[in-house]
Amino acid sequence: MGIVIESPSKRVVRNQLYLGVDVGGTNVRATAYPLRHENVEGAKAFATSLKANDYPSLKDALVEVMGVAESIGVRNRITGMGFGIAGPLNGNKVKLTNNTGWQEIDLDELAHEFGVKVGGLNDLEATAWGIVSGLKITDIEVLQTGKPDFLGDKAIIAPGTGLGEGRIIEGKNPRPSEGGHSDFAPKGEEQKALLSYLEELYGEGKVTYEDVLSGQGLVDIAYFLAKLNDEEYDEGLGFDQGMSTEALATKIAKQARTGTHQLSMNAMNIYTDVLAQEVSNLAVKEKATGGIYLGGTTKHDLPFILGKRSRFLHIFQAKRKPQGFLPNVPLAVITKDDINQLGAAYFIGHKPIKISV
Amino acid sequence: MYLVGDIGGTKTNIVALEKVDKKFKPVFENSYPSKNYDSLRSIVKEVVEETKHEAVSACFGVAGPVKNGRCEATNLPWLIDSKKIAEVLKIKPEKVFLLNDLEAAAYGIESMEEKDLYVFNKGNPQKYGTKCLLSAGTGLGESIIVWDGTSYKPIPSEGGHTDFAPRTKIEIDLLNYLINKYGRVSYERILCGPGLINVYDFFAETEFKDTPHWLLERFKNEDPSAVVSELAMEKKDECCEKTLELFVSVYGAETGNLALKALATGGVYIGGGIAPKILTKMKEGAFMQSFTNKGRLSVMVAQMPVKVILNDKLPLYGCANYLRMQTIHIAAPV
Repeated sequence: MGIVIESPSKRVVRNQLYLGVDVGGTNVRATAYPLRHENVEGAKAFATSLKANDYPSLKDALVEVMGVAESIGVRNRITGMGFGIAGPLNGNKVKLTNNTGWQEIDLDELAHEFGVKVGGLNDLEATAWGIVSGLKITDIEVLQTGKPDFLGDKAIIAPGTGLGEGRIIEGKNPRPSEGGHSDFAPKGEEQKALLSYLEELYGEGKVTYEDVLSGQGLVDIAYFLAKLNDEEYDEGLGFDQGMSTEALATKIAKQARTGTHQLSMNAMNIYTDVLAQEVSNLAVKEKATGGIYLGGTTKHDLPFILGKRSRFLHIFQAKRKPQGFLPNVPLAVITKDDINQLGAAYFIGHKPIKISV
Repeated sequence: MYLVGDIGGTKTNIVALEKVDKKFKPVFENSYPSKNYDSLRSIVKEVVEETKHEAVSACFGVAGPVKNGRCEATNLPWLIDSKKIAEVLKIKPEKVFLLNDLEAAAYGIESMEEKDLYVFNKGNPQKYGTKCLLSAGTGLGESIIVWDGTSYKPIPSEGGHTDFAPRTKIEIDLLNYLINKYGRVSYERILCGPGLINVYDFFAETEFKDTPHWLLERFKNEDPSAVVSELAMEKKDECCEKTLELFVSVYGAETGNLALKALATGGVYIGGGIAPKILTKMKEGAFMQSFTNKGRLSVMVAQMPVKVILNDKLPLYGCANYLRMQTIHIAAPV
């Protein structure tokens, strides 16, 4: 549950800055925050975004980031770096699960190279720490107000390259989850047919929520619908040869949002229905009386979801038991762009309670 | 005296403990047929009269939602109020604790020894790793148990109400059958005593066409789910065998789902009354097969210890542990 490596240097620094770094498949986004006590005070010192592919390793990308810090004269104030990384933590090393050509990230090496305290988190944990640090009402879009229990457990669901899930115990202690890999439960004939289609790809009994609620999932839903309609989806959409899955998914989502393409809209309809179903499952599994946060790419789909908000909430609440529970669970989409950077910085800046999990 | 109790629909088990050398030792133990009593208070009254010990605190595990020290029992016409129990015990109301039955069970896990457990998978438990508990009985209870820095603490879950995910052609047929019957289908429609009968009815109606007369007679006079599992274990009825086979497989799949949702690197525990009765069937392989069949994550779930709890005193241990934790809490320096 997160790793902290102490700084090799013992220098005393005033006006400390903490660098939060979101290490994704295509972009490395770094933001420096002044964190005092438990609160995030003041404005960001600087923010920068780099293309992962332009650098042979994370270390090289960070040299560039530190160069930016140097140029505005804050290099020496940076005393800690927190990383939110899409991949499983294994000791002080992290293997990236997405499509950068980077090898394993060695957190020890980074601590020595830059002479700062270093923290490593899984990307969902970074989101969780971002929530714990305190979100403003402008950082979220509320889908359902509910009756929040501020000391209750919270849950996070974040579709993206994969389907991330996580939870925050008693509103303050993040814990990891791999719930995105639980078995997909279809509702209605169309989803049952989708399940059969996905079983052909992944094998019988091996279809999980991530296979529907991810970039790849959205693309597969579109192909499934095209097959039903006997259409050549690639032609209809003008997909270019060699477009990445991520680019395809973005294109489908965009065409659905703008209402320019019927099949894309149908695909997004299925996608958001299943999202509402899994959010509902997550709410009962975690008994998330503190609320559920939708992160990842959901913020981009927000206009689409808001357009069918009552359907979304109807599906979310559609459980027989526990009676009266689901309408009281607050639901919000995180719209804050730097949530993962903030969370990673907060994790390393405000030394969290020592929980070795 | 520290009083602990496991309140069930048929019987209520009570144990009185005394602190000897900083450890709890049972000094009194009795089982009361719940139906013969109008309230928990009457039972506690009897215990007090019989033991004549002075009470320090008490804790009871009960099937039903606990709120503000009160609980309406699910399978009994009792409204349990900790204040009323405290009056009988002549202690302060805040010294009487009510736990939901699953919470009580979860607190008991730490006390289970080797002989109390059947180990399906030794795995590689992580220190302070999250644990989870599934318990199929009259309903399907689930709990996620987290290390809070000093002890393991169950967080409530209503995971039994998550949507049922079919994995095979036959499970899709079962899903369709249950949709016709109930509209919505959660795991609890399958994984509990009445759920087993749902699966039996599905096979009986779709594949076997009818239930023999002698079996209908037994269903009338006994607990039908116990009859189905008994006949399946003894291989005396094909429909019952198929029923239990599917039940065990779905049980394994949902155990895997909860283990992933909780990321239960500390261990996965199976409680409840059904598992010990069908253990032989679970050992045949389908349970662990569906538990580990999680694609890329199979390696991860294979690292998780999986254990069936055989000791039916689990909730009593849980209540005792809970009291111990409260005592430590009270004894902390002011």
